[in-house]
Amino acid sequence: MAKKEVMSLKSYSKKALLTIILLFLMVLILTGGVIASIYLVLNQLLQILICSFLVLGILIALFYIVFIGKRLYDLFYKQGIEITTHNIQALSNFDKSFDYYEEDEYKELKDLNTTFKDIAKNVGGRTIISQGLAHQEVPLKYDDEAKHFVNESSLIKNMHSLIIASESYRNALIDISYNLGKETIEEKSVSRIYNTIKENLSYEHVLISFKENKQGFVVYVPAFDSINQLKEELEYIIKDISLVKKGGTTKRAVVAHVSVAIYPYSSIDNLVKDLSKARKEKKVLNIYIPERTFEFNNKLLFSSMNINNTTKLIEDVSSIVPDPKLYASNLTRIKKCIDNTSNYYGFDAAGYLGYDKDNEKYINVYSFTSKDEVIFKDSVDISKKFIQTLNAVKDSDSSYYFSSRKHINNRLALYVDQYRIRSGLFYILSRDDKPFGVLYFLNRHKDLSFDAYMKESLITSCHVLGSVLEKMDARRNVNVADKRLSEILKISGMTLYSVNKANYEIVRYSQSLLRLFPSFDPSMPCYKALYGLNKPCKNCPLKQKRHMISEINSHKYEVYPVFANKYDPTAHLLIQPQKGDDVSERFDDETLLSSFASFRTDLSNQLLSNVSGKILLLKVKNIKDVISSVKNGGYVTLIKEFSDRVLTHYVDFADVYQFNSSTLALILHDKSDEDIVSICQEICDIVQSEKVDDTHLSFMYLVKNYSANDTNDALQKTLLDALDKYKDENEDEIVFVDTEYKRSASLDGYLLEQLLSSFGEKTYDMEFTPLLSNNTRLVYGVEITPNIVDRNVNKRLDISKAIEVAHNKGFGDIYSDGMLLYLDDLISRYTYTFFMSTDISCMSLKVDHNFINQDRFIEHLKEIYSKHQLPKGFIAFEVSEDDVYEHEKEYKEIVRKAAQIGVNFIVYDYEGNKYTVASLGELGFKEIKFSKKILSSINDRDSYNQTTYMWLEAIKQQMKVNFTGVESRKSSEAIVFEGYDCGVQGDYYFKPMDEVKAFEVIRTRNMKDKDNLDN
Amino acid sequence: MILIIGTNHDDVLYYESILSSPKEEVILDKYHALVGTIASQETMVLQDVYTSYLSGILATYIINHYFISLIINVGRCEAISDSLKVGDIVLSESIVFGDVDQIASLKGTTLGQIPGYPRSFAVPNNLTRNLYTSLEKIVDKRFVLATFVSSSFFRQSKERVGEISKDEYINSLNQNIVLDGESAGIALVSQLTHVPFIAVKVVEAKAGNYTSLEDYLLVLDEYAPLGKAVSNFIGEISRTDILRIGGKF
Repeated sequence: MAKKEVMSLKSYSKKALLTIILLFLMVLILTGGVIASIYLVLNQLLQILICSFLVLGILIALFYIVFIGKRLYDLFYKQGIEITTHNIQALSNFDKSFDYYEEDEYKELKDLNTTFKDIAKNVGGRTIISQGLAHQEVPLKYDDEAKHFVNESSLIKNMHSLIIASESYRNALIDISYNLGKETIEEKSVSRIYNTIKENLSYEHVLISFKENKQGFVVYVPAFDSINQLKEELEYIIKDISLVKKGGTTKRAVVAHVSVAIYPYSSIDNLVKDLSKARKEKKVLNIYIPERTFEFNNKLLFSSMNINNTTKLIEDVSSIVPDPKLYASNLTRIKKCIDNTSNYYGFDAAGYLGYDKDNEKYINVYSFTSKDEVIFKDSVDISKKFIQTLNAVKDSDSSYYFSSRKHINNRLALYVDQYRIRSGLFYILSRDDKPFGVLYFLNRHKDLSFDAYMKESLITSCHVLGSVLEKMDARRNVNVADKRLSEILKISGMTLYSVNKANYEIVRYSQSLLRLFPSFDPSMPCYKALYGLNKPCKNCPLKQKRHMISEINSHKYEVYPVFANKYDPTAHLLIQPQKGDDVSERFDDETLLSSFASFRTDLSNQLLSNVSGKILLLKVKNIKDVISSVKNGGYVTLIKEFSDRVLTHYVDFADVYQFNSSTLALILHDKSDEDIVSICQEICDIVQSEKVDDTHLSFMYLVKNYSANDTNDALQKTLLDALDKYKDENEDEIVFVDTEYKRSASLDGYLLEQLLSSFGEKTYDMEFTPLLSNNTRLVYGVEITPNIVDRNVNKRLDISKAIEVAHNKGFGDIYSDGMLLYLDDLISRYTYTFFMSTDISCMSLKVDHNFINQDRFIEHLKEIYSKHQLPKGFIAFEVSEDDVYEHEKEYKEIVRKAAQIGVNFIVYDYEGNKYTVASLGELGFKEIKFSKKILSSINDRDSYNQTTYMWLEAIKQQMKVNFTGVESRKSSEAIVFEGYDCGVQGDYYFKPMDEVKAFEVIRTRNMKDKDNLDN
Repeated sequence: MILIIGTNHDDVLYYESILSSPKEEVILDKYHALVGTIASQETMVLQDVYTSYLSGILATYIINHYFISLIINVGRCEAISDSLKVGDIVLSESIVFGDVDQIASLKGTTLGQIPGYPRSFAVPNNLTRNLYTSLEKIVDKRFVLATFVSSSFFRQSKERVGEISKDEYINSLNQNIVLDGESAGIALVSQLTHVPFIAVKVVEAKAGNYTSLEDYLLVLDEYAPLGKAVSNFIGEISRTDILRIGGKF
């Protein structure tokens, strides 16, 4: 379809007007001509001919004038005025249903269409806060001079403006009517009722209208606090405003019928209709809340201001995982959120009341006050009735908000007065309608004057906090129950497991089952997993419905079916030692941990079951310190708590044993050396967090393998010898007895010792990744990455973590000096001539802020540059976008200084999340390396456009661009930008390789023909 | 003048509506009483009287400033006895304080007793008899004599209600026991000033329970017939002049 040519309406109008004037003149001239010619001496026929032409001409001119006139009318009036008027009206109602000008071949109208389309888009997507009418500016009419009673029609007509002016979330329209037949309310009653309403509905800007039928009132209440509380206020009013109906000789009392409709439950447009519906109900008080879904196109949208702040306040707790192991740290995060929220909203006090199950009472779990106002003291029990009352009066969103003492339910007021609370919010957490916690934000000395947005933001924060607390409580309950059961079973020597009745698969088991059957596979049926049978036991307790005697590891046990329930698809079985066959001395007298005897027994079980694994001994290195500094049996407490923590954390551990008075033991089957290292690292963290009187246990770890070939006695002897041999090892040291390999248990310690040893003894390796030009496919540089491997376990270190640890411990310069020395040495060995001849113009190193913060960093670089006479940009350091963001100030300085020497800085893993390309250019960075994600999503049109845009920005900034993660031919072909080159790297071209191979590649590749370069 | 005291407006609604030539009297700059005639008897109707503290003060003041021949306390009460239901009408036979414990302050004082005063205040028999008669003539609903336990706690706890219901002394007065807020204060004034006093109220709920609006409608329905009965009673006593200053206690 041919594109419409856009003309200017203004110029069209001018031309049209000119045309009309010309036509008019023409008509005049013609007319004059006609008259003249008629008087001239012309023959009759000629006269007739001329007249006919003239008439025709005049008609055409007139038709054209009418045509032009109509056109101008259509354009200016119908299009211009009518459509514009409609659109302005829609805009004033925050409505985006605009009409558009049809004649958009005119520039002005086309522009107006574009403007209205933009407005429609923005109105739909933006938040609108009315700054319009103040309440008193709403043009209400009053029926009396004292302005007590608003005219009913005026009130209804201005409902929309009133709601917008109030800017509040809950507005109520109330109808109070009396069934008086033909009678009307007397004047004295009118003023009495007016006063009663005013006194009881003591909100600001309450408007009362005496109905036109003089049989009732309409009341508008803006910004009320709580529906529950409004209901109570209305009930109170109802009981005080009855009237007497005369009705002949008899009098009778007539009660008021009250109907309520509430915005936003009813939309503005439906408020009056819903009130009429409510009136039809027969109840004395009817609060009508329709079940309509929230209308998306609601004209009053909510402010994003407080939502943004709310998000910031609650974002940390939103990510809480309700793991009972993390209870303490989670509670700290929640407390912080409560503090921040309280401070943000300016409350006198805030906190959390929780239910103490053990003592069956409510306690103050946490309280915060910035103003020395402790409302709920720790030493004083919280009244159960208070909590129950709160639960009864709360709104459906579990909150109870009261802006002042006036607006509170009577039965709650008693407690509020006892605690001297004046205003605030309670958020009640309950399960099966039983409250288990209350969040509170309260004031003692002031009322709350929140606008709707702040109030809803606060309630939203409470929803999030409440949800987290509820999950934590639930998980904890489950955990406590499980733990209790586990303890009982352990102490009683019993074991409980459950199987699916249909297929005998084990669905659940207590930890103590692992002691009897260390290597059982829970995915198998019980007869196979526990006894190695291919079909159910001959005397299966499930079939026989009575106990079965089993011999497990030379001991006899009885297996009972318990908790029998024909509807339960799961059967539960209890294993207990047969009477007379007790395992004696199972527990250590002092710590109540499983004793050495238990350790021997369970180890024997392992050996007899043909299971191999590792014994981990934890030698307490600071036992004297612990005993002397921790009072009241603190050592035993620490040991016990540690044991509980370990068994909770590792559900596949059978037990923690007291090997001797200062050593604990764990039997860990089917664990690798790496697993043991992880376990020791975690144990290290656990003991540091379990402190009594600021003291915690410190262990030295001994690891000994065992297998079915070992005997119990031999293993005992080896363990005792090892304890003696390694008695002087430091705390937090792991010793693998069989290989004599030693390493630090703490991750930081380990990384540091590896880094120091590697750079101290120069045992590190370097990996080289060639950097290629996209256009020529020749190597222009190498990216050098240190590779530190722990040879004992053949594991590569996380170098960036190691560097961070080294820096934190004050050894950061060892790494940076080491790397710069290596570079220096590398260039010396190959010489700059080699690099020049092979077109290698860049050697880059991945570093971070710790690296560049070393004292002699710049001096060292200067020395290298000067020594080898290197060109600008030969040495480059790559840093991540995130690291730059977090340490911008440091980078700004170093990048500038380094650039003066000729050292470039490159941003790798760049995605544009924190900086634009231009801003990186301004900071002095010379190159960006796009992250792998950019290339992987390049086929997406938007990503492609975005990438191209960033590339262009880089070109403008005279910065280089590099694509990393080129994994395939397809991704290599996707990098195309006509006329511009960039760097590429990835496994498609070259994987990281050692130094010798890398230089071989450089040497051979850069000598090849370009045509043969495609892999 | 006869003084009718109610707690809120609905309590005195009927009486206001039947007052002839009503005039407003301001009491203590705060209370707006209406004075007119009912059954040709000058009557003052007073509302917004909460608790025995206020009822006592106002009754005393009014007695001192006007010639009051009888005080009638109207309104609502709560049933302690299981035998009483919502909507039942109760007349006071005796009145006790439900929130007084001066046992420790003076030797010999019993529970509920203000030292120097009786433990319970008995209403003159002639009053109860005449009002009872008026009720019989006019009211269809059940009405009984009861002991009024008066307390300034608006909503008693269930424990306290339980204690009152088991109080042998109170039970010995009358097995129908109700709870209200104002009558004991007036009874005390009556004791001091020798102005006769009677309370007649409608049961609005079981003590300690919340009153629903539906129950309230039942109460409201009784106000008119009760009001008529009280008007009739006023008419009767003005004719027969049964009031005696210094009546029996």
